Order: sequence, then structure tokens, then C-alpha cells
Amino acid sequence: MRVAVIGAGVIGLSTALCIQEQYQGLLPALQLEVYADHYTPHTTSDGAAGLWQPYVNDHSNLQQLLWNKETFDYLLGHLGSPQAKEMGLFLISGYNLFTHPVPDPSWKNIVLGFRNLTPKELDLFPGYSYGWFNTALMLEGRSYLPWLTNRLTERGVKFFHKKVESFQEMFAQGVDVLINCTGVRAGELQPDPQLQPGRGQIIKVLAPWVKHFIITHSTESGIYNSPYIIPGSELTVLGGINQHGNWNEENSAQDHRTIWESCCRLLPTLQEAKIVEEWSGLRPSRPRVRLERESIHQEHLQAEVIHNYGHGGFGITIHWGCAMAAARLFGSILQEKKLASPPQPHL
Amino acid sequence: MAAAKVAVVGAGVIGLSTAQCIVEAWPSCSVTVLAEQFSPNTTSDVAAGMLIPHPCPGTPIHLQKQWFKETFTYLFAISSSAEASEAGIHLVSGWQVFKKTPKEEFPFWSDVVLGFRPMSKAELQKFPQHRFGQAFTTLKCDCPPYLLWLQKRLKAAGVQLYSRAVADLWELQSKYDVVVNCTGIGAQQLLGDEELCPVRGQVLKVHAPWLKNFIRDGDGSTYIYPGIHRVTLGGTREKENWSLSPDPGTTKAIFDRCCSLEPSLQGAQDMEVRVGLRPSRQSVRLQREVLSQGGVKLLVVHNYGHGAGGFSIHRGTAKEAARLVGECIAALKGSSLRAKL
Repeated sequence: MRVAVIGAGVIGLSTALCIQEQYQGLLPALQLEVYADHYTPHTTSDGAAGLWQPYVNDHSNLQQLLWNKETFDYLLGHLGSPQAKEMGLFLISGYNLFTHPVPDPSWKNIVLGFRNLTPKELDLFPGYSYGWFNTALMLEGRSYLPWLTNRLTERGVKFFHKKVESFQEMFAQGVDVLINCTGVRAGELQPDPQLQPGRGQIIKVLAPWVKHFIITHSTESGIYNSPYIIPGSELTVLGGINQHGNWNEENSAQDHRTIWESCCRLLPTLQEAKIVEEWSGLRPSRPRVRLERESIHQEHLQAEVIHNYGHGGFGITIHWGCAMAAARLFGSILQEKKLASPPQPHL
Repeated sequence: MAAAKVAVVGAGVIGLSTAQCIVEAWPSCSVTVLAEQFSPNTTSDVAAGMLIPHPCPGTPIHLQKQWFKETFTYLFAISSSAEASEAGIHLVSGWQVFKKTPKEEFPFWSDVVLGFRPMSKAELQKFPQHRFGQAFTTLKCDCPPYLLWLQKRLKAAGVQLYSRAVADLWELQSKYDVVVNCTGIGAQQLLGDEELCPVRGQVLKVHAPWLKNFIRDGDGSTYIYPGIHRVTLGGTREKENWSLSPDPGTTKAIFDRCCSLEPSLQGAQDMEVRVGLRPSRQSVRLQREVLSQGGVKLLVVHNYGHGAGGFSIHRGTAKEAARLVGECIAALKGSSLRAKL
């Protein structure tokens, strides 16, 4: 049975790994392939800082909350393993800042040590009068994606550098199940007006004295349109741009100024930091993640697509929960095709 | 009377911060720093520079707290300024974990550091051998940057710094009005202070830039302190051991203990091993002394014996030492007035 994953960002690769781990043993005939026009380090996931943190205002979406928690717990379990460094996984503490009191987030009990900021801590951040402190995880795309790729390669998964133009072309080739992890450009394969780019731009600087993430929030500007500082294992990411509907992947000088000035105001010592890189990417924004099966009737075939895209600015945060859910959908496909039922005894 | 001439002996964190406080308090003085060793070869350079007070049995708690608070407040202001990275001062959060629940759940300094609270059960799961813990955010002074920053400020204020060994404080009597003794462990040889004893500490400095939180075992034996470029792993506390040579067996023991607290350290690179001798004493010697020899007087202010807690209280003791220098200067003015009559 040929299964093709389209997309090699964090969603595509983790979904492939999840399906591989759960079903290769049950189904020796399973042949998993990954198709993508961009691989690490050129995917959207590579540009993300990699901080595990859901949106602070996630409209009480319980399903997504559970996927977020599943991801956090899964990663936490890997922290002590020898793989953690290679995965780009480590603990990090930090601050979320607000200009007025806000309700606690739905994920307060998922992260470690969640608490409100004390007045002395708020003195560090003039202009902000309320905030949270917690310990969360970093999962750096530039390490995690190669790690996923290595695990998949070890297990015999094949990779193809190719832009898929349609679902049909894959089915015509003999693919039985398609896993659609195409992120922001999913609309090219099947129109989806709910999917819009959330353009982001970041500046990466050398500032190894910064040990905490600092994320500011502004109800007027909206999520990620307010300065944030996220220290990685080598470089610190400065950001604060989220432009809905903007497809431009070129760096903008104006956005650079916005990021630089607002982050230096937030943390004056950043003025001494050396700018190393600049990057723009498109968050695959959608009101909800699209994670569902679709049966496509083709001639006499019934082809199956599992959609797993639209993770906005929280792809890394939610990826494993979604990969597991996609794997469950795959399992139900196998059941229907009677491929995964247990062997029958001879009577 | 001409401006008083003050010599500060010692260029570790105590000597340099004391010189700075004297310059701030008595701008008309001329201050000179004399030391055998400057950064990166002082005891301070070996230390991680974490602001976590150490027990100092001979010093009243209220004084320890006052000195710690003064130091923390001073560094806190710098940490949020544009100079923070040059000065090597940064905030760091982390955990102090205990195998046995400590008697004191809230140490005297718990309201000085930021966000102090007991660790949650979920946080403790990362440390299966430990049953209690404290989470907080504190400051770290990275050396050499902090000492180099102090040196730069001193030079800008007109302070001269000279590399020179002082075998006897009386050598300085002819040129200086007041001598401030910040010689740390060197005071043992200089003064024969028998209360002062070295407590040898060996540390490893490794490259592990993914470590953003500190971890300290509450028994003080094992700690992981992430600095700007390197993580300090420690340590040892060997009384009366004067050896400055790294011991390979100790290196392995420290590394193993730290890895059991933080397994990802197995991937650490570029290990540098260093040794420092903590200038330990029942209490910090922070007092004036008038030495006499053949009718000649030498006014001395002592500021040494900070043991394991130098960084935590340095600014507080430096200010007190500067105040004592002020008393010396006043005494000199008084006696010079009397001499004129």
C-alpha cells in the first residue's frame, strides 16, 4: 500500500513518522513516501523560533487544547533522553506581558510552574502592568526537521523533491492514501478560503545573555503583532509581525525597523546584539486546523486524503497531537479496507 | 589637606567594587588599585557569579540580607539597562532541589530574588531523586566581563590600576593615606589571619548553549549555572586544600553528578577545568584597623573573607568599606588639623 505525505515541514514529517511507527509493523506492505518542493532548512517550520506556546486566546477549542497537551507531554518525556540535543529540544522559562489583567490561558496547567508576575518583575518591563511566568519547551525546527528526516530515512521512507500539482496526479501514479500537509499553500491543491497567510518576519541576533523568552501582547494589534524575543540554542529570535493576507515572502525594511525598535525598547541591552539573519515566512492561518479525512471518488477507485494543515503560528506546539490524530484516521482507513484486522484463525 | 590617597589592594570582585564605591562616595579622593592578579586570573573569574547567598554563620542575618539586597538591587538596575551585556549581568531562572526537605522553606533571601516559590509536583518530576524544590529568578555576574566592566569604569573615573604584588601593607605607607585590603585568600599570607582558610572549588566550564535554566542541589555540592557563553558545572568544597591544579578524578565526579541532574549535558563540548580557593572565614572581616610601627600609623580598612558568597554580597560590603574609608579620611583631616595648631 502506497502512502504519500505531501509537505516536509514539521507537520508532514511528524505525521509520516507517527504513521510509520504505528503501522509499519502491522502492515509490512506499507510503503511511505514524502513529496515536497521545500525541505529543511527552507520550510516555514525552519523559520519558526520553536517555542511551545498556544495562542493566549484560543477560543476554548478543546480539541486543539488536547493536541497541544499531547505534544507538550510527548516532548517533555523526551527531555531526559540522549536524543534531546539532536532534536533541538530543551526547557526554557519566560514572560508573557500584557497592558491590563487577562484571564489565565487554557494551557496554564500544561506548562510548568505557571504563575502571575510579581510587581518587581513587572518593573523590568515598563509599559506592561500584568503578566505570566512559566517554563515551557523549545523545539528548534532547524534541528527537529533533520532529526525527523533521519528517523524516517532509517525506517526506509523515501523522499522526493517535487512539487505536487494535484491530488489526481498522485492517485494516477498508484498512491492509495494521500496525507495533505501542505501548510499555507494547501489552497493550490484544493481551494480553501479559510486558509490565509499570516506573514511573519524575524531578525535573528547573537545575544547569548538572554535566557528567557519575552512575549508581549496587545489586544489592538493581535497575536504575534507585538514584539517578542525568543532565545534559541545559538541565536535569539526577535519578532512581532503577523500580517493577515500578505503573501510576500521578501523581508520588508519597515517591518525590520518595527521589530528592531520595539524589541530594543523591551530589552535595551539588545542594542549590543549583532544581527545575523533576517527571514520572512507565511503562517498557515486558519480559524481551526483542518484535520479530517476526505474520500475522493475517482473512476472506479475510492481514494483517500487525510488533511492536516492550517496550524497558524502554533504548528510546533500542536504537531504531535495532530500527527497522532492523523495516524488514527489512517488506521480507520486501513480498517475499512480490511487491511488492519487481526489475522483470522482457520476453522 | 590635599586629597586623600587611597590604595585598594586586590582586583577581584571585592577589590574592584570597593574601589568603585570609594570613587562614588568620595570623588575628591585619588584611588589606586594594586593587585598581583587581574581578570581573568582572579578567584572571582573561576566563580559562576550567581546571586544566591551562602550561609555565613558569623555574620548576623539582617546584615547578610542587607548586603544581598543592596547587591541585588544594584545589579538588577544594570541588568535592564543597555550596559547589561557588556557588564556580563543577566537574569537567569531555575531550581534549587533538595533530597531532604530543608528546615527552612523560605530562606532569608527569598523575598529579594524574583518570583520565589516552592516547585510544583510537575516541576519536581524532572528530578526523581529530589523531593522538594524552590523555583526563582536571580542574577548572574559573568566573569571576566563584569570585572572588565568595573575596570573600565574605574579607569574612566581616573583610577590607576597597577599589576604588583604587595608583600606587606607597610610598603604602601609612604605613598598612601588609607589602604583598603581586599586580598581575599591572599590575606592569609599578607596578615597571617588564621581564621581565614581556603575552601577549594573545582569547576568545569562547558559549551552547552541550549541550557537556559540553572539547577542547584540544595546541599550545595552540585550545580549547573548557565552563563553568557559557557555553563559552569560544580563543584567541590575542600577545606584547607591549597592546590590550584585541576584534579581529573574530581572532574569526572562533577561531570557525572551534573549529568544525573541534567542528562543533556552529555552533549556538552569544549570543557575547561578551573580551580579557585574560596577565602572562607566565620564572618567577613569588614573593619577599620590602625597599624602602628615606630610611631608611624597606617590606616587600613579590611574587606575580605567572603568565602563562597562574594558575588552575592559584594556591593553591600563594598559600600560599607567605602563608608569606613570615609571615617579614615575624617580621622586624617582631624589629626592634620590638630597638627596645624
